Amino acid sequence: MKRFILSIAVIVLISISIFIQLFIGTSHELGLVTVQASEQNRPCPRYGGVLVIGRTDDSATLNPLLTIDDASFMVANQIFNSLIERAFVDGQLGYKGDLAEEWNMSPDGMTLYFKLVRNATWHDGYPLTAEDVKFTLELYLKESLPQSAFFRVIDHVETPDNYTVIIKLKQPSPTFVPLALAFWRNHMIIPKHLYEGTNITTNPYNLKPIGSGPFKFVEWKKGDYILLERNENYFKAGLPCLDKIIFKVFPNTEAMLKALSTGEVGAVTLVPEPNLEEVKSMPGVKLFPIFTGLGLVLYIGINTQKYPLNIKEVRQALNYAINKEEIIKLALGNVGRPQRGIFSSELGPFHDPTVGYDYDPDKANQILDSLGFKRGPDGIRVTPNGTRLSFRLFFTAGDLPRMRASEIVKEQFKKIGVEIIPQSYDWPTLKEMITVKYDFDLVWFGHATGPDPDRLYVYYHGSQIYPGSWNYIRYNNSEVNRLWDLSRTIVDQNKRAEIFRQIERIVMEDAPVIPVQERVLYAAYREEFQGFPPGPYWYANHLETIWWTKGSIRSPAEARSLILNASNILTKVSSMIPGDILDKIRSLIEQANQSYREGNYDRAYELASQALSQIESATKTPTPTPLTTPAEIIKTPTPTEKVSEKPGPDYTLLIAITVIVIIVIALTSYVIMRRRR
Amino acid sequence: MGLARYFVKRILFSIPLILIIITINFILVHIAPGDPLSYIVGTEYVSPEYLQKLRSEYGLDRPLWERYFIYISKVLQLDLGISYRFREPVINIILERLPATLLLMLVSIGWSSAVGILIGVRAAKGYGRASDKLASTLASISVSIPTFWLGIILIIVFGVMLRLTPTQGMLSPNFMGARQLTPEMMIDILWHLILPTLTLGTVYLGTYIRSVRSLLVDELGKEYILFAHAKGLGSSYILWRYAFRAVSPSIIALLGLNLGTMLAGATLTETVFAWPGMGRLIYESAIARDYPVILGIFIFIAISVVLTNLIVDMINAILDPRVRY
Repeated sequence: MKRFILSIAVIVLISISIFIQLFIGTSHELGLVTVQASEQNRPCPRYGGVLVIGRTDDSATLNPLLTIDDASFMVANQIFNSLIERAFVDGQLGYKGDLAEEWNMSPDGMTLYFKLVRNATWHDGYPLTAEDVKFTLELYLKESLPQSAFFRVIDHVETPDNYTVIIKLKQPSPTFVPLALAFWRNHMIIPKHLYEGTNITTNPYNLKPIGSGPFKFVEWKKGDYILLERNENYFKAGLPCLDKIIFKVFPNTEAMLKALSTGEVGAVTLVPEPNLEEVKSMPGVKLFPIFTGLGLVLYIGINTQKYPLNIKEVRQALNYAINKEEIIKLALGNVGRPQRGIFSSELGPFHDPTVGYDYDPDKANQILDSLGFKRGPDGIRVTPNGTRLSFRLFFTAGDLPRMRASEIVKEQFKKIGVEIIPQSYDWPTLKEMITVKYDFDLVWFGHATGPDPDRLYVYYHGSQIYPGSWNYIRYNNSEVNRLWDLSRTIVDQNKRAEIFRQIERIVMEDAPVIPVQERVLYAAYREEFQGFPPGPYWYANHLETIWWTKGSIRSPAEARSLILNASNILTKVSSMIPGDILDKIRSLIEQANQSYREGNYDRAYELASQALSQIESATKTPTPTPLTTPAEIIKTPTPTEKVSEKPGPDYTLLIAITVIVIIVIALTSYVIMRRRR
Repeated sequence: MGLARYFVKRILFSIPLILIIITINFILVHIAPGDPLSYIVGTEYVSPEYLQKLRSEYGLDRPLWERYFIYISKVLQLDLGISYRFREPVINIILERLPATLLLMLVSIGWSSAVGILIGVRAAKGYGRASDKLASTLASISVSIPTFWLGIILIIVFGVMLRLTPTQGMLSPNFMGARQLTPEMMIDILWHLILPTLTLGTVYLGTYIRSVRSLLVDELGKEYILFAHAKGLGSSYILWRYAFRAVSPSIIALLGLNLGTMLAGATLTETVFAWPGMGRLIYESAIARDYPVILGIFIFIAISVVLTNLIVDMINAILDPRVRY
């Protein structure tokens, strides 16, 4: 027994020593260096830091031309650039140049000019030119890509010189710029020299992308994390602020929010409605709206071909019977506004605020009575041919807000004698049931327009009814179809707005959907990081201006140039310096390099300037040029690290496992052996 | 010679077994409703032409039996196919997850079997006394405690309240992307391992205590033990040299059983701690209808179960002179 206790004590001792080592290992004992920042205009208040962004979905691909989901786009947006992007311009929603420094459209709306920045390079060092832009745009036309439909209006692309792109359209298109070029799906440019002549879906660079953006791809552990690091040669001077961004996948929201509260992640991509209160109460954590101008609408889709839901009056009655305020308040996090039509109020003139139905259960009852739907013994109405008014209401499994909302809808519909049976399925099953088999009555659904209502064409136009399409409610009104086709030929936004208001009125009269909420989604960040939100669409903006409050005042470029300067001067004058001082200066420069690698640029700068002053005093002569312009030095070619082609499976972990197993086995056998004697 | 022939026979038998397992899994995976593309597409609008292209690229437009034969012939060429979701060879995705799962499972089974055997022996030795009752209570608690509950409690106490350990993951951000394993990185991994392994090991602990205890109590009641006592041998000697040795094949069989299912990972524990292991991969792939990945993992698990059973049988055949085939 004694030995048993002894061996336990040994284990405890070992673990305690590991604990202690850990604390020593992680505590940063680097002294605070106060360096006065030079008074030049800098985009980042501070530099350095690692931002871990928590999310519950992993990316599917990092090739921006193949991406479909937000999770993929968000990462691709850090690695690649687009021509222009949606941004806040003087507080207003507008467009900002990304790769394009100037752009305009010809008066006839047929030609778009883009003038590219001249200093953009790919992460592998090749310059980014108009050829890359032309190549990417033509890929959309040549290949079947997820977003190809938006680019079919392009006739051809011209590149008169390396930095000018001219896009000629087949016809004037009011939707090309907002939908194809700079929606929340930015149209990003991929490198021609890596993709030309390859199969775009199987190109190995889809998994280890080479882009031009603020961050470079380092590593992707599928289902775990994606690691990006600062692009030192980014064409926007002084950006990005952060050293690294890690997109970390969590298996569920609870684990993610716990990590947010302990500071293990610095931001999360989305806070679901039921968790808003919890996150609000976390100290040092702030919420921010994810989208501005996305026009996200939550509604209940109706199977318009199934009796009795194919009767317009029944659908109208359901619209009258729903109390949106109550649902939003009790189930949907009490955020956003009640939604009346199919278009969000964020679309401004395109939306008619008077459309839709007020909450009026009496009117709903009247309509159903007039149709001859009498209440049965259980209070549920029965149609003249004996069908009970009992509908299934579908939502995605695990979607807590919609589950709660369904319960409230059930209560509200009971008042008009309609039974609701909430049911949930996982997404692939649900999608097959509603869009392929059309085996549904009512379903919670959402759609977003972005800056232009034309995006909803695929939801409401009669030509879009086919298995797997998004017009799963099978809504087909010839007048709506005619007006929508007409809208696509008109460039004048006022006339288009009038047409879309008319479309919305007709659709809501037909009531194929029950609009519920104009959604506002929130994400959260920890206050150590600043610069949120980075733009109108959190998933589609470069995170280049987000900065860490504990970072360095000196920029990496400043520190780097000073270190290079010091070591250059040292090699020139090393013969004049006595050996012991020379070693000291060398170690100072080495330390400065070390601090630079660790991301402490203030300390690196401080050490380098110490080295410089030591050189100065040792040579007793003023150093030739203590501060050459940083730009000049940066241009001197630095040896770039050769990244191994494919890291391959990490066997190092296996070694660690073996060591641990050996320790466990050794301890066990030791104890057993001792007892045997 | 008999032994060698027995082993060859066993190995040959396991090949059709694995083929049957693949077939059953293939059918099970494909009769689940839902289309793999609907996960890839999500709720976004995607050109129909692109969907058609994907469908034919993945072979989803072919009839099921045709897909089955293509799959089997590919597997026989050791090709597990390409993941629908990531468009990367399935084998790479599995190998990427394997180390994390092996680490978690080996350490958990390792410590829980060591501690469980010691406690179990102790309980059998003091059969009916306080130490036995204490051990039995411990075993009951450890068997009946829900994994996810224990995990969440440990996270809240040690991770959120005391801030002693990380709450999730396997690596701190500063070690991500490292090209080789440094001592600091190993400590960091162990650091992240403490809570998950404590949680998962607790589940196994009770099984070991119980089986070791009951096996030994049976054994200690036998006549040859009484005879050994009469011979005047020390009780500790009898316990370890006689009784424990006699029951060790059963314990090894139990260990083998646990190690065999090791590759499957521990979905609940991995989910609670965001541990990047196989259990989570199975779950995620099932949700995404990523057929090649699910099937690939099942094949991996099947092979490992069959193999460990084979090894356990071999060890027993060597250890136990009574086993003659």
